[in-house]
Amino acid sequence: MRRSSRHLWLVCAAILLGLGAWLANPADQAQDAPRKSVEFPNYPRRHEYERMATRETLPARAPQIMWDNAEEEETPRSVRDPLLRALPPKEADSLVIFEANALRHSVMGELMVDCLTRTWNNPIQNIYNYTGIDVLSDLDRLVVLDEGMIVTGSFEEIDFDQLFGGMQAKPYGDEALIYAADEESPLAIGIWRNEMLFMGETREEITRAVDRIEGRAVYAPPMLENQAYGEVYGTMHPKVISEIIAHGSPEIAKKIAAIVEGVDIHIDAMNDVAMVATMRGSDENDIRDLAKTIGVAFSVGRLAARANGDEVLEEILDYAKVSPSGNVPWFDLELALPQAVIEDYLAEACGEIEALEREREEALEQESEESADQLDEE
Amino acid sequence: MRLAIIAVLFFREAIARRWVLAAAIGVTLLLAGTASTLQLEVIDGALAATRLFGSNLNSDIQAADVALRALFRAASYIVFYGGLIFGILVFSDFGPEILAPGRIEQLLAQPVRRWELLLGTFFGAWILAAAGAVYGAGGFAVILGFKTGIWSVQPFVAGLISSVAFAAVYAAMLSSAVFVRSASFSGVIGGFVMLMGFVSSYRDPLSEVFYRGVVGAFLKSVTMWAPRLALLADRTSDLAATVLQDEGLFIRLILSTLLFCVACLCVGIWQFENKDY
Repeated sequence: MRRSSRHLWLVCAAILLGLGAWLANPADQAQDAPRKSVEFPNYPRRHEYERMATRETLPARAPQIMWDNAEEEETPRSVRDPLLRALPPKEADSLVIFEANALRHSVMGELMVDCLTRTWNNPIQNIYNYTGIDVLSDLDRLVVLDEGMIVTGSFEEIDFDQLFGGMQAKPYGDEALIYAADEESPLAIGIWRNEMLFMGETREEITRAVDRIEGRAVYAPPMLENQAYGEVYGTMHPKVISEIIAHGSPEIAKKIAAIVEGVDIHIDAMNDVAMVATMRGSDENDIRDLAKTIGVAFSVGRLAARANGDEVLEEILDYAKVSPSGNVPWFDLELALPQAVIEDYLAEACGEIEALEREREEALEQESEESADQLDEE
Repeated sequence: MRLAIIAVLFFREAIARRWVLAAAIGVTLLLAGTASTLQLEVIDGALAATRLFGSNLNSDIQAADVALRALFRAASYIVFYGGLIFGILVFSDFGPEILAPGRIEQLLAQPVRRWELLLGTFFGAWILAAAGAVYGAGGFAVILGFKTGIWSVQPFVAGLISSVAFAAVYAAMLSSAVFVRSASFSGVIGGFVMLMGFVSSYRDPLSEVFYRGVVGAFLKSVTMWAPRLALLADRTSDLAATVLQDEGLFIRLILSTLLFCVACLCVGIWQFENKDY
């Protein structure tokens, strides 16, 4: 009896050790579970460098126009991406580039595609039936400009003559075709090398873009290849930002319109949607004050959201941050939408659309039944 | 009651060595230095600037409680690992001292059971370590509270939980002293348990990268029994930063560490009960 009670402590130790190992086992398996953090697009990542390299298809040719801030002895860097070379010069107001192919494979993209194929009579299929363009696989990038749009992708299979039936096609330059109603018509559509589609308010905008690509005109790209990172990127005129926020924060909107000269944006949308907006001005003190004003506004908004029990807004503003950069006239503004928030929002929106579609179908069915009954009576 | 008496004996021993006083003064000086050199500019709940010794540490403007998460997280790691290393160094000779010839006979002559003697020593050390961790982490949280108006109880809790990790390490050290009465051996065991606690936390990726086949399987089976100290440190820092996600997993980590601690003590008690003094 005494001998067995002596070893009782050892038996207890063995049992407790086994129990401890069993309790800790899920921790080993949960190691890969991501901890709460959002990655902001502050610089190009490896896959973006690889993407840039595949797009450098033009021979090197330095831009002839120097930027305002470039030093005279600095050799301007050549841009070999035809889309970037086609873009209007740096003085243009706004341009935003959407990496359509990347966005299609993001979490948000997958959810939206799933929603669209189930609702609104599947517009993706309708576009394909009408134009021959499969927006899910044929598109690469979409550029929205102040006065026009550029789309890049793979358009070899598209019969543009049929698509633009009624419009005359004329070759332009080395590899472009310009479609227009007639010679005097200002509206035109340009195709370059079956990989770039231009839509502009005037024919001259399209011909100038093609001239920039093919070397007949000087070019001053608003961004270099190493600035083309994120799934959405570009520059926006401050008045656009000011108009967007004027309703919620009129004072800040006025300050932005007065102080900011340009806004560079980069958005990473593969999982969470994370945005970095660089606000540029000319006066360091004004920019620093604006940075503090916006930072404090975020903080106050977060406190208000917490007081009102708005957990979603509070979580969004958790990630909001303003990063002034010492004695320079610009600062970075970071904002993020967590993936869970996007998923919930899209699920709710899609559910509402489906409900509306069902109601519409039921109403149509009822109408047709009533009219059939009326016909029978007659 | 007898456990409490043994623990008090331990405190008296610790105070007599003055290292408790030295540690308390050291932590107090560190906190006082932080309080005087760390400047935080908070405007309407937004942390606008952080300065240490007059130099700008971080000029990001962010909600103060969000910005402080990084500070709380760093403090949690410092308390966790710093406390472990400090505890191993300082407490390594306590067990061997108590078990020294002459001393142990005197203690065993008292109306106290052997397991009470061992457990009392253990609790004495654990309470001191927990008090130090709570003082360090909690003191830092109080300083930040006065400077920013942001008060958080999480750092106090994180300090307490980091003492759970020390409990597991010290239990192994104390039990090893019963087998081999040596401060160095006790310290080595403490370091070994801490290292195993790190390796066991990353046993899957480590065995995939470094060891495959039979060796990998052997290492995985050996590390299975060790407490996941690095994972506990990570989750404790999440708690300090108020971003802890999986509370159930966190509780399992704490319980498994405590069970390891009790298992080590059982082994020590088994040896202590069977040994002739």
